[in-house]
Amino acid sequence: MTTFHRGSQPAGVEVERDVHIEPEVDSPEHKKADRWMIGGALASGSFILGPVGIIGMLVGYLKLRKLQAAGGNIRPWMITIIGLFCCVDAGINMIGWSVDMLAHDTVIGQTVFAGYGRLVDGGYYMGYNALSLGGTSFVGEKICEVASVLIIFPLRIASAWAFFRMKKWGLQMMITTSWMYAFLWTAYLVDKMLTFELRFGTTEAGFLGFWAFNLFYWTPFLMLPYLYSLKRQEWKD
Amino acid sequence: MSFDGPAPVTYMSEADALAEAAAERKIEFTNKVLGIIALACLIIISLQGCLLLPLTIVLYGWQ
Repeated sequence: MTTFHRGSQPAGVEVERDVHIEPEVDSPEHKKADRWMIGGALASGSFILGPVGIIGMLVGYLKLRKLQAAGGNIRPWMITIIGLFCCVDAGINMIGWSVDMLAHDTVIGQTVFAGYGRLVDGGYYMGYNALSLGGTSFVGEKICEVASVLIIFPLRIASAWAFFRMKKWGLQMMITTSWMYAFLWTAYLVDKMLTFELRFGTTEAGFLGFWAFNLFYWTPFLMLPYLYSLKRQEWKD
Repeated sequence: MSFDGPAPVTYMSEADALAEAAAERKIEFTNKVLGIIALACLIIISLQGCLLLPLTIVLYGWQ
């Protein structure tokens, strides 16, 4: 596709023309590599299949590199990194919180959350499974958890898939869900602040330990400046 | 002008064109830095996904 980014200069001056080549994200090879990467990203958020997930993402990455080396026109790497980051983050949060919401009586669920609770967040250790919904007994945490598992993270995974396919709605939904995630972060931190002593005064790693673990999930604040710098008209309908 | 429509044709002085090119370079550099940070975070959270369960089992055993 050829687009004219800047038009006529004064007479006699050559017109500047920017040639935009559309990546072939719908080719079977590209789709296959994407399936490996997205599948691996979601598996890495499942606790049990974590190592398999990393291998899956690596296989997808190698397939894309191979396609690029063979002269294929692949999607820019920055889009791949941002989409994968979104997928792994949403996968870890959605699957992790789903276990607390739906599988809090299982051995895996209790092992993971008792450990996480003792290490970095007492909300998953003290009074665990004491309320009607089970799992964490801290009400604010439960509200964030249910709203995120049912709404924000499924939307975010769907938008990451469309972002990978370079669809306009994928870009738009990545922006929208990033703002939703920023809203979640704000509510989550206020909730933590209100129960600070109970949750962080009792853990082995303390408040710094909590941040050392959770800081890397700051996807919306990292992604929004990038997402707003993309040219929407170059994305597919 | 539609938001999704073709890029507009504009008249631009040389100074404006240079300023725009400099701004685009700045955005590209910022995006490159963001990409490196995103890649580092991606690797760290993927490892967290792998290690949390084994770590809790080693530290506290099965519940």
